[in-house]
Amino acid sequence: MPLYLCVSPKSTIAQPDKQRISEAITDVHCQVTKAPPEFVHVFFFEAGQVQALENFLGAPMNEEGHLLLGNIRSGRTEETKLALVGGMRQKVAEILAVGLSEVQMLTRDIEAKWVMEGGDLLPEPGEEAAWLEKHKQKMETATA
Amino acid sequence: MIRCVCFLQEGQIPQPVVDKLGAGIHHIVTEYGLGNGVDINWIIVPKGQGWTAGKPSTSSVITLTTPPIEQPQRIEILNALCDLWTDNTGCQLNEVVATVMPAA
Repeated sequence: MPLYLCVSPKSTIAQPDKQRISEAITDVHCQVTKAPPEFVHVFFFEAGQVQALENFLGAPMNEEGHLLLGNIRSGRTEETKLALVGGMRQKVAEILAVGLSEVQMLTRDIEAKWVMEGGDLLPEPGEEAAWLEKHKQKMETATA
Repeated sequence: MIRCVCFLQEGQIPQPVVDKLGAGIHHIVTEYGLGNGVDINWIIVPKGQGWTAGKPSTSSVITLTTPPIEQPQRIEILNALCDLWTDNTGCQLNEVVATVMPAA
Protein backbone atom coordinates (compact mmCIF):
# COMPACT_ATOMS: atom_id res chain seq x y z
CA MET A 1 0.00 0.00 0.00
CA PRO A 2 -0.41 2.34 -1.68
CA LEU A 3 -1.71 0.43 -4.67
CA TYR A 4 -2.10 2.47 -7.84
CA LEU A 5 -4.06 0.93 -10.71
CA CYS A 6 -3.61 2.46 -14.12
CA VAL A 7 -6.39 1.52 -16.54
CA SER A 8 -6.02 2.65 -20.15
CA PRO A 9 -7.55 1.97 -23.53
CA LYS A 10 -6.04 -1.01 -25.33
CA SER A 11 -2.54 -0.56 -26.74
CA THR A 12 -2.22 3.11 -25.85
CA ILE A 13 0.83 2.90 -23.57
CA ALA A 14 4.13 1.51 -24.81
CA GLN A 15 6.00 -0.74 -22.40
CA PRO A 16 8.89 1.70 -21.82
CA ASP A 17 6.33 4.38 -20.94
CA LYS A 18 4.78 2.06 -18.38
CA GLN A 19 8.12 1.80 -16.64
CA ARG A 20 8.47 5.59 -16.73
CA ILE A 21 4.95 6.03 -15.39
CA SER A 22 5.53 3.52 -12.59
CA GLU A 23 8.70 5.37 -11.62
CA ALA A 24 6.95 8.74 -11.82
CA ILE A 25 4.03 7.60 -9.68
CA THR A 26 6.45 6.16 -7.15
CA ASP A 27 8.50 9.36 -7.11
CA VAL A 28 5.48 11.62 -6.68
CA HIS A 29 4.06 9.45 -3.93
CA CYS A 30 7.35 9.35 -2.04
CA GLN A 31 8.07 13.06 -2.49
CA VAL A 32 4.61 14.12 -1.35
CA THR A 33 4.13 11.67 1.51
CA LYS A 34 7.77 10.95 2.49
CA ALA A 35 6.84 7.26 2.42
CA PRO A 36 9.52 4.78 1.31
CA PRO A 37 9.25 3.42 -2.26
CA GLU A 38 9.00 -0.16 -1.00
CA PHE A 39 5.35 0.54 -0.21
CA VAL A 40 4.38 1.71 -3.68
CA HIS A 41 2.72 -0.73 -6.09
CA VAL A 42 1.65 0.25 -9.62
CA PHE A 43 -0.33 -2.22 -11.74
CA PHE A 44 -1.38 -1.56 -15.34
CA PHE A 45 -4.49 -2.88 -17.05
CA GLU A 46 -6.29 -2.26 -20.31
CA ALA A 47 -9.95 -1.30 -20.21
CA GLY A 48 -12.23 -4.29 -20.50
CA GLN A 49 -9.36 -6.67 -19.77
CA VAL A 50 -10.64 -7.90 -16.45
CA GLN A 51 -14.29 -7.67 -15.50
CA ALA A 52 -13.47 -8.18 -11.84
CA LEU A 53 -11.57 -4.91 -11.84
CA GLU A 54 -14.80 -2.99 -12.02
CA ASN A 55 -15.88 -4.53 -8.73
CA PHE A 56 -12.58 -3.55 -7.19
CA LEU A 57 -12.68 -0.04 -8.65
CA GLY A 58 -16.25 0.43 -7.56
CA ALA A 59 -16.93 2.21 -10.83
CA PRO A 60 -17.11 1.41 -14.52
CA MET A 61 -13.74 1.53 -16.22
CA ASN A 62 -12.97 4.44 -18.48
CA GLU A 63 -13.08 3.27 -22.09
CA GLU A 64 -11.47 6.37 -23.56
CA GLY A 65 -9.03 8.19 -21.32
CA HIS A 66 -6.55 6.96 -18.75
CA LEU A 67 -7.75 6.28 -15.22
CA LEU A 68 -5.56 6.13 -12.15
CA LEU A 69 -7.05 4.69 -8.97
CA GLY A 70 -4.98 5.07 -5.85
CA ASN A 71 -5.71 3.06 -2.72
CA ILE A 72 -3.88 5.15 -0.14
CA ARG A 73 -3.72 5.09 3.60
CA SER A 74 -6.31 7.24 5.31
CA GLY A 75 -5.12 10.18 7.37
CA ARG A 76 -3.70 12.11 4.46
CA THR A 77 -4.75 15.75 4.40
CA GLU A 78 -6.75 17.15 1.50
CA GLU A 79 -3.67 19.18 0.58
CA THR A 80 -1.61 15.99 0.38
CA LYS A 81 -4.24 14.25 -1.71
CA LEU A 82 -4.42 17.20 -4.09
CA ALA A 83 -0.62 17.13 -4.43
CA LEU A 84 -0.70 13.40 -5.17
CA VAL A 85 -3.47 13.65 -7.72
CA GLY A 86 -2.14 16.80 -9.37
CA GLY A 87 1.45 15.55 -9.49
CA MET A 88 0.58 12.12 -10.86
CA ARG A 89 -1.88 13.36 -13.49
CA GLN A 90 0.69 15.88 -14.68
CA LYS A 91 3.50 13.32 -14.93
CA VAL A 92 1.36 10.73 -16.71
CA ALA A 93 0.06 13.31 -19.18
CA GLU A 94 3.62 14.45 -19.89
CA ILE A 95 4.92 10.93 -20.44
CA LEU A 96 2.02 10.02 -22.73
CA ALA A 97 2.00 13.43 -24.44
CA VAL A 98 -1.75 13.79 -23.90
CA GLY A 99 -3.87 16.53 -22.43
CA LEU A 100 -4.38 16.65 -18.69
CA SER A 101 -8.09 16.10 -19.19
CA GLU A 102 -7.33 12.66 -20.62
CA VAL A 103 -5.86 11.49 -17.32
CA GLN A 104 -8.41 11.10 -14.54
CA MET A 105 -7.60 10.03 -11.03
CA LEU A 106 -9.46 8.86 -7.95
CA THR A 107 -8.12 8.04 -4.52
CA ARG A 108 -9.66 5.77 -1.94
CA ASP A 109 -8.72 5.89 1.73
CA ILE A 110 -7.78 2.63 3.43
CA GLU A 111 -7.12 2.51 7.18
CA ALA A 112 -3.50 1.56 7.92
CA LYS A 113 -4.67 -0.84 10.63
CA TRP A 114 -6.59 -2.81 7.98
CA VAL A 115 -3.44 -3.62 6.00
CA MET A 116 -0.53 -5.97 6.62
CA GLU A 117 2.56 -5.73 4.46
CA GLY A 118 5.67 -7.75 5.08
CA GLY A 119 3.91 -9.38 8.01
CA ASP A 120 3.39 -6.12 9.91
CA LEU A 121 0.42 -3.79 10.13
CA LEU A 122 1.13 -0.67 8.14
CA PRO A 123 2.19 2.43 10.05
CA GLU A 124 0.02 5.49 10.24
CA PRO A 125 1.08 8.26 7.83
CA GLY A 126 4.18 10.00 9.20
CA GLU A 127 5.38 6.96 11.15
CA GLU A 128 6.98 5.18 8.20
CA ALA A 129 10.65 5.69 9.10
CA ALA A 130 10.37 4.07 12.53
CA TRP A 131 8.18 1.29 11.10
CA LEU A 132 10.62 0.57 8.30
CA GLU A 133 13.60 0.45 10.63
CA LYS A 134 11.81 -1.96 12.97
CA HIS A 135 10.56 -4.03 10.04
CA LYS A 136 14.02 -4.33 8.48
CA GLN A 137 15.48 -5.48 11.79
CA LYS A 138 12.73 -8.09 12.08
CA MET A 139 13.38 -9.35 8.55
CA GLU A 140 17.15 -9.53 9.16
CA THR A 141 16.56 -11.49 12.36
CA ALA A 142 14.20 -13.86 10.54
CA THR A 143 16.72 -14.59 7.82
CA ALA A 144 19.79 -14.80 10.11
CA MET B 1 -21.41 -13.24 0.71
CA ILE B 2 -17.87 -12.30 1.70
CA ARG B 3 -15.79 -10.91 -1.17
CA CYS B 4 -12.10 -11.33 -1.80
CA VAL B 5 -10.06 -9.77 -4.58
CA CYS B 6 -6.56 -11.12 -5.20
CA PHE B 7 -4.04 -9.54 -7.54
CA LEU B 8 -1.40 -12.03 -8.68
CA GLN B 9 1.48 -11.49 -11.06
CA GLU B 10 1.07 -13.55 -14.24
CA GLY B 11 3.18 -16.67 -14.30
CA GLN B 12 4.31 -16.38 -10.71
CA ILE B 13 1.94 -18.81 -9.02
CA PRO B 14 0.94 -22.09 -10.75
CA GLN B 15 -2.79 -22.85 -11.05
CA PRO B 16 -2.73 -25.79 -8.58
CA VAL B 17 -1.27 -23.43 -5.99
CA VAL B 18 -3.89 -20.80 -6.82
CA ASP B 19 -6.50 -23.50 -6.17
CA LYS B 20 -4.89 -24.18 -2.79
CA LEU B 21 -4.96 -20.49 -1.97
CA GLY B 22 -8.63 -20.36 -2.85
CA ALA B 23 -9.37 -23.30 -0.59
CA GLY B 24 -7.32 -21.65 2.14
CA ILE B 25 -9.30 -18.42 1.87
CA HIS B 26 -12.54 -20.39 2.13
CA HIS B 27 -11.16 -22.12 5.21
CA ILE B 28 -10.16 -18.82 6.83
CA VAL B 29 -13.58 -17.29 6.19
CA THR B 30 -15.27 -20.31 7.74
CA GLU B 31 -12.84 -20.69 10.63
CA TYR B 32 -13.31 -17.08 11.72
CA GLY B 33 -17.07 -17.19 11.31
CA LEU B 34 -17.11 -14.44 8.71
CA GLY B 35 -19.76 -16.02 6.53
CA ASN B 36 -20.93 -19.14 4.77
CA GLY B 37 -18.96 -18.59 1.61
CA VAL B 38 -16.58 -16.29 -0.16
CA ASP B 39 -16.63 -14.93 -3.69
CA ILE B 40 -13.02 -14.79 -4.85
CA ASN B 41 -11.99 -12.67 -7.83
CA TRP B 42 -8.52 -13.50 -9.10
CA ILE B 43 -7.07 -10.59 -11.04
CA ILE B 44 -3.96 -11.54 -12.94
CA VAL B 45 -1.59 -8.65 -13.53
CA PRO B 46 -0.24 -9.33 -17.02
CA LYS B 47 3.46 -10.06 -17.28
CA GLY B 48 5.47 -6.86 -17.19
CA GLN B 49 2.51 -4.78 -16.01
CA GLY B 50 3.14 -4.83 -12.26
CA TRP B 51 5.69 -2.62 -10.52
CA THR B 52 6.74 -2.25 -6.90
CA ALA B 53 9.10 0.53 -5.87
CA GLY B 54 9.48 1.24 -9.60
CA LYS B 55 10.79 -2.27 -10.33
CA PRO B 56 9.06 -5.39 -11.70
CA SER B 57 6.68 -6.58 -9.03
CA THR B 58 6.44 -10.00 -7.45
CA SER B 59 3.78 -8.88 -4.99
CA SER B 60 0.42 -10.46 -4.32
CA VAL B 61 -2.26 -8.07 -3.09
CA ILE B 62 -5.20 -9.64 -1.27
CA THR B 63 -8.27 -7.67 -0.16
CA LEU B 64 -10.91 -9.41 1.93
CA THR B 65 -14.08 -7.49 2.77
CA THR B 66 -15.84 -8.68 5.88
CA PRO B 67 -18.64 -7.80 8.24
CA PRO B 68 -17.50 -5.47 11.05
CA ILE B 69 -14.92 -7.22 13.25
CA GLU B 70 -12.67 -6.23 16.15
CA GLN B 71 -9.05 -5.35 15.46
CA PRO B 72 -7.53 -8.37 17.29
CA GLN B 73 -9.55 -10.72 15.07
CA ARG B 74 -8.58 -8.68 12.01
CA ILE B 75 -4.90 -9.14 12.88
CA GLU B 76 -5.38 -12.90 13.23
CA ILE B 77 -7.04 -13.05 9.82
CA LEU B 78 -4.32 -10.91 8.25
CA ASN B 79 -1.66 -13.20 9.69
CA ALA B 80 -3.58 -16.25 8.46
CA LEU B 81 -3.69 -14.81 4.92
CA CYS B 82 0.03 -13.98 4.97
CA ASP B 83 0.84 -17.48 6.27
CA LEU B 84 -1.37 -19.02 3.58
CA TRP B 85 0.62 -17.24 0.91
CA THR B 86 4.10 -17.85 2.28
CA ASP B 87 3.36 -21.50 3.10
CA ASN B 88 2.03 -22.31 -0.37
CA THR B 89 3.64 -20.01 -2.90
CA GLY B 90 7.24 -19.66 -1.80
CA CYS B 91 6.71 -15.89 -1.61
CA GLN B 92 8.53 -13.93 1.05
CA LEU B 93 6.48 -11.95 3.55
CA ASN B 94 7.60 -8.74 1.85
CA GLU B 95 5.80 -9.90 -1.29
CA VAL B 96 2.41 -10.17 0.39
CA VAL B 97 0.04 -7.24 0.95
CA ALA B 98 -3.13 -8.27 2.76
CA THR B 99 -6.10 -6.06 3.58
CA VAL B 100 -9.07 -7.03 5.72
CA MET B 101 -11.63 -4.26 5.60
CA PRO B 102 -15.31 -3.78 6.31
CA ALA B 103 -17.71 -4.01 3.41
CA ALA B 104 -18.79 -0.54 2.29
